[in-house]
Amino acid sequence: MLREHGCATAVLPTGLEAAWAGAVAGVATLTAEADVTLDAELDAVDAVVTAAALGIATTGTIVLDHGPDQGRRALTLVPDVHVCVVRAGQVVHDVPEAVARLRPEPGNARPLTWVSGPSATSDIELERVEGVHGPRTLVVVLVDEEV
Amino acid sequence: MTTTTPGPVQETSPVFVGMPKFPTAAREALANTQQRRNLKHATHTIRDKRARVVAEVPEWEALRVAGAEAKDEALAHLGDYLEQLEASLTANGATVHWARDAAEANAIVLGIVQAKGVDEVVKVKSMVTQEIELNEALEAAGVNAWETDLAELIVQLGHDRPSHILVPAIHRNRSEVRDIFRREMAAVGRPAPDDLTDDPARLAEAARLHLREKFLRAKVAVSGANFAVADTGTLVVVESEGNGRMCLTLPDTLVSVVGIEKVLPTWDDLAPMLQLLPRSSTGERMNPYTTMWSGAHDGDGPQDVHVVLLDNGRSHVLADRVGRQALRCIRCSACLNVCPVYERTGGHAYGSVYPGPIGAVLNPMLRGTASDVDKSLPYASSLCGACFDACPVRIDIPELLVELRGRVVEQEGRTAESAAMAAAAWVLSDPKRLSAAQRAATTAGRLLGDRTIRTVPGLGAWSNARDVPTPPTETFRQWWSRERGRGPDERPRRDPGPRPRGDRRRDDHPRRPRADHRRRGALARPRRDPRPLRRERRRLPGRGSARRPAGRRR
Ligand code: SF4
Repeated sequence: MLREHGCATAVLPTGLEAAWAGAVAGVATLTAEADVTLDAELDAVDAVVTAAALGIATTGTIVLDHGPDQGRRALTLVPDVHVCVVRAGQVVHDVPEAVARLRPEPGNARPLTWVSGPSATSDIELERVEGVHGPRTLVVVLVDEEV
Repeated sequence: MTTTTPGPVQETSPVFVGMPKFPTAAREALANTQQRRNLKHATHTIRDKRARVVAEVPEWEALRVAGAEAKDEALAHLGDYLEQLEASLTANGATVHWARDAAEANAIVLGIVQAKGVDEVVKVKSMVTQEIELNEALEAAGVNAWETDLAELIVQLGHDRPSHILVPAIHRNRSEVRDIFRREMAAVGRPAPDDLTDDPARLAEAARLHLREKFLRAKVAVSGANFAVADTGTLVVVESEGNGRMCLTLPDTLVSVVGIEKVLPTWDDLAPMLQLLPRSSTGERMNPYTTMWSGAHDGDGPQDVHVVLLDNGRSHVLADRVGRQALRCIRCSACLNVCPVYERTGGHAYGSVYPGPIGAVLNPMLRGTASDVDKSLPYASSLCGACFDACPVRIDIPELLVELRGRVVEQEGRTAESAAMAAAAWVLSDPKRLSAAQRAATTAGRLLGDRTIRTVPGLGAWSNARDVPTPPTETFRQWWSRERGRGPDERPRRDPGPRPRGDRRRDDHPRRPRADHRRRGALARPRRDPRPLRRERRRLPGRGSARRPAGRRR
């Protein structure tokens, strides 16, 4: 996937599963989350590979709660390609189910980012243009755990 | 009602002071054919998309009710929920400020910005900061406020005003946008590329590059919020482009200005809201990005988080038993896109950052009805009801408009319309006057041919908003005398002679004895009882009673 999008460098969140990190290592030069402290450094990285908190079937949404396997918010925002791995067991049916599962814990609230497609605008004559500020390419990999 | 108003009324900002009343501004807008074409295309496109995704949800009506109930609960106990919101935000590490009006809110934001020693902020599109004219206040103090939403950027660079809640640059087409980018970008940052075309993808790319520089550099961001959840202390921003995520994530300091009506009692209330808003607003099942943050999050995003809770006329609306429901508004803009008036006039004629049907009710309530534009706004509607049907939180906009019209009339006393009605009553109550008026009108009719009359001398304002059909060249009575040789006045009161079949059938109707007689005599007999006037007018020749049910609105 990364090869297809011509990504030479990728950043990985600290807690990403080792197997996935290994797979990416064969394709792109890796940087650890801790090594890119400045947003400008992050801007030079091509791609980011993360997990997700859950997925919503009806609306085609992934939700990030920016836990250790997803990294801080800037990580999934600044690079131009975001590859997000969602396990089938993480997918809920609809929005109310997702809201119920994501209720912030008092004292330990996490920020949430709901992503339902690549960054897009229809501001000029309502013609849809994909890719304004967020990652212009979003690839969601759905993993069937039974296999 | 103005005597018992608690809370401050919102001040009309200098930008809109002296704004002409709606019909005047609308007439100008109507003459702008380019804008009308853009608007028609835009409103119809979004309207159709919305209809499709709403139709997918069988329980849509139940969602609307749930959304309205969540908002009503919040509004009914607003003070309590605001205090709870403040407590949970504070527990999450945010600083909460309270602002009574625009001046206080602007001073608070400016204070935070100045304490950071910076001269620029990046902004997420937010109606409330437009309402308080924060950009102008910051600029006056030497702080640049960069709008980062693409449409807002177009508006800002074009030294223009937004015309739609959701797509503020709906009145500009692509070549205008290209010209604005080429002309203005260089002065405020990274210039537009020399070979920029009017392809929307190229224009968006130019904006991406121009703004990325600002996102990476800015130390302070200013946002609004779509929802503020009281029990968890969470703010929510719903967006499409990712500029919101940039502003809410990269700078170290984040100031969010939030109208007090944005509060939701509990986290679970987000479930209906997050289904209602995207479908109603952009016609999507879900918008591309939604960001939720609960104060400051350790090591992630802004560490200095401020929330300014703004009243600015809202508690004034809250005190209004009927008007209160307008505060449920989640600014989805569905009512704009279905409104036949908005579709033709665009947003600028409403003289406020809140245009369209909701603007027509919200502005006069937030600001009072003292100015020309606010007085005229409740009339900027045909009361067709499309806005209520589209509204995800079931705000009965037509009901509010009628209520506000009543208040404007009470406040104004005798208006052109009431004078016109009085004059009409005087004419209609005497057959001699009526027949003189009719003769005068038919003379005018013969002179005018088939043209539509746009103004009637002497009825000025009243006929300005209504086109009067050209009077016929002959009255019924004139026709009758010509055809039958004598006027209906001379006919005996009870006509025993043969009647046309259609009339007989109606005459036989047990509940309407003598309908035929009344119909023919309506113009002839001096009227004694003023009450049946309306019924009889409906049965004037040429407007058979058969049309009545069809002409009725539900
Ligand atoms: S009044 Fe209703 S339809 Fe109009 S913007 Fe507000 S929530 Fe949307």
